[in-house]
Amino acid sequence: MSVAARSSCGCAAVLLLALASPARAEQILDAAVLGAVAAGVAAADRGELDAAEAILADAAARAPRSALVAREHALVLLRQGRLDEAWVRVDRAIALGDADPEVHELRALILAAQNEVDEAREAAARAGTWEGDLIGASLGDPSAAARASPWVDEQSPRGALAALTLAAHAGTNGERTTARSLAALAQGLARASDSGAVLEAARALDGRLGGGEDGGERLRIGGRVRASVDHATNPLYGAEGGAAKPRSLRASVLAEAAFQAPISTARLDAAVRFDQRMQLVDRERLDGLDLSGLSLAVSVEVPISARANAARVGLALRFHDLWGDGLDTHWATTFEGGPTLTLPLDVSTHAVLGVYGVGVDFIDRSPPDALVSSQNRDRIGQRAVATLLHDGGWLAVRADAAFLRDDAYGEAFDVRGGLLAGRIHAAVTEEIVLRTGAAVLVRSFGPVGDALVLGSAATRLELRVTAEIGAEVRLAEGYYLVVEDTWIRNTGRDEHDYTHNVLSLGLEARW
Amino acid sequence: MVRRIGALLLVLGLASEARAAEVETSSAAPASLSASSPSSGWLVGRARGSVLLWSGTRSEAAQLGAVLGADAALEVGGWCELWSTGDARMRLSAGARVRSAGPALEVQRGRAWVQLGRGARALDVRVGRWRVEVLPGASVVIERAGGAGSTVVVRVGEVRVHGDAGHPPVRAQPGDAVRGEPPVVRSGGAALLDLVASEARDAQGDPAQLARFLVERARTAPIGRLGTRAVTDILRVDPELAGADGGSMGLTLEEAIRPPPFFEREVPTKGPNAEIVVEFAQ
Repeated sequence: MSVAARSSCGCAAVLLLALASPARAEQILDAAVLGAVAAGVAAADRGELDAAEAILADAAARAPRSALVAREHALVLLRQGRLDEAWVRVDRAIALGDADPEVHELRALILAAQNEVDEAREAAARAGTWEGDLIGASLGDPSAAARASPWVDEQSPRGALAALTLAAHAGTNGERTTARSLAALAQGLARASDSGAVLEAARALDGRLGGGEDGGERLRIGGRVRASVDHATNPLYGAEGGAAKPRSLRASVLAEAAFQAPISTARLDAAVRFDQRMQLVDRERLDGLDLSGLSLAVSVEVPISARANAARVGLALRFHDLWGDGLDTHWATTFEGGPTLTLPLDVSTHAVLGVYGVGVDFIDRSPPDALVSSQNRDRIGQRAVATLLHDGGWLAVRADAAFLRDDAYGEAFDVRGGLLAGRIHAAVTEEIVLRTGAAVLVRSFGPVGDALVLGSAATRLELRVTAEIGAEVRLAEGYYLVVEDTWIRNTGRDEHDYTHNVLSLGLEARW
Repeated sequence: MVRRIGALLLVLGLASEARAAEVETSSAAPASLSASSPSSGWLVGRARGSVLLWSGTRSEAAQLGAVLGADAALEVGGWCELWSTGDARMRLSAGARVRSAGPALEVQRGRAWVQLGRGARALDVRVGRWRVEVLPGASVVIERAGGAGSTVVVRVGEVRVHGDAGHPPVRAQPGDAVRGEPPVVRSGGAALLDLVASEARDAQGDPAQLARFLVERARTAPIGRLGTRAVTDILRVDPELAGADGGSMGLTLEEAIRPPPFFEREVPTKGPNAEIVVEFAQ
């Protein structure tokens, strides 16, 4: 065999050894490449990013199966601002088996820098770390913000960073009072942990939250006007049986204005609403039903801590006055109000507890107070209400439970009762919203006379069931077609049952 | 295909030996300790503060790129990151000491954070009387504290912890912490994972600039518009809960004119509704 042939066979043998050697096949890197990577990382630490990138690019070419090299290369490319290349490298690292959450945090940062917000949020969530949660919260992910909330209690640079990030998140969502609380907390934590950059950013954010040229509005005013035509089947709420009940066709107008003003960490809301109805047919039989109603409501709400998911304590008051036929008939004046407690349960669910007082004075067409009468409907009442609200974005579900007690001037209208209700609000498309709901109200009226003598005849049990369905179609920006139907059925004894249904078709303008 | 790539890498590796010598490094591998002994396959990739390389009774400062010899030990005063030819990463916290023991590593004290890619080979790490089998794709923190014994906390993936002979190995996954003698899996360890991650970020100077990103996002975050609440949102009482024909207006009218639960004739007579005027004779 010639020398050349033996040399060729020798080279072939070396190659065959390489092919057959499992140990060699599993060695992804060699010491030389690792040394080069170390040199590249050191160059990056010195700020020599171009040199570092060149070294790492060479190392990546020499060790194409190394996830370690791919991640280090991606880091340097991110720092250089070469985002597309950084993204390719970090995806390569993940594909090569880099499983640590750090690589997903890095990917999230690269995608965020590229303005790929949705993908960045996914990558941040996949990391499953507090760093990933803060990245997600800074990109507007409410779930990430909820997970990051506990960190604001920590007296550390991490706590300061978390408070700052969650303050910005709340501010972007219009939760001005929560945002200001968190911004103040961030400043305190940043001072305590000597985090200068966080302190400066928190001060700037607090300034913007307080309003001004670059900041949010100091006051927001909104409103709506609706005009509708309604058909009602039993507008006089006549008892079943007997003569045919007059139906009504009416025109209704509603005008409402509302404002919100954040005052430090408190939220102040107020709204005023005016309703007007005019009967279009059968006006003589429907005397007094050209209604004019005025409602005023105001509330103040304060978070009990600086956390993003802090409970809120509030106080709400409402006044309503109802007149008929211009100012000829004064039907009633109502005052309602009381404290509320809102408890966030998770990012999309919260519970509201309220204890309210209700006072209604039926004025005209009611026995005068000076006359002792069991038919006097004027009352003072109490309500204890618990509401569970789940707002999942396009679908919102509400469940209510309440206890009622009324002490009326006329004993026939004393009430002990309970209520269960459920409502669903679904934005099925960007233009169409569907609503439906039902409520069941059980009331025990009385006792009248001496209950010991009359026994069960001293009280009357009534069941009032309501069903609602409605749809809202956006015709143009700020203009909506609204269709609603409300069905009411009150079941008691004979001569006390009544059913009423109203179908409304209207147009509404909002701003 | 894998074997062909392996052969190609072998050829490239042989060719790259000369090229490696040309690459500028901030510091060369120390010739006296690491090059004189067979390699464990681990190399110092990053280092902060004091990092000593021991061989027997001799020690010297470990530079970047220093290779951990087959029977050598590394003692960390600051923070250190080792890389292996098997594409693994090990981060050592202050006070840690690791020793190369054949194909395995031994954590003699302190904290070691091991990250293995899914393509890497399983790695054995000895700590105390345990043998911790770190499986491919795992990221795990191994701690040896004198009084508290050994702890293994899993961040990602899976490990098997082999205690004394006669006890079956325990498997640990994310959310698990292995402690005690014999080793037992419990939940927990999140604080230790946070600690090593924060140490690593601080030691590396936050290379991904996470803090800078978050501060900048907060600085430029748009302030959302305030939302208003309608009359029926500010307070939800009878009309909103029970439903009515047109909110407060409709319920008030209903309550004013609906059939009473008791008619007047059904109720015991009230009164006398009489007004009494008393005049005193002078």
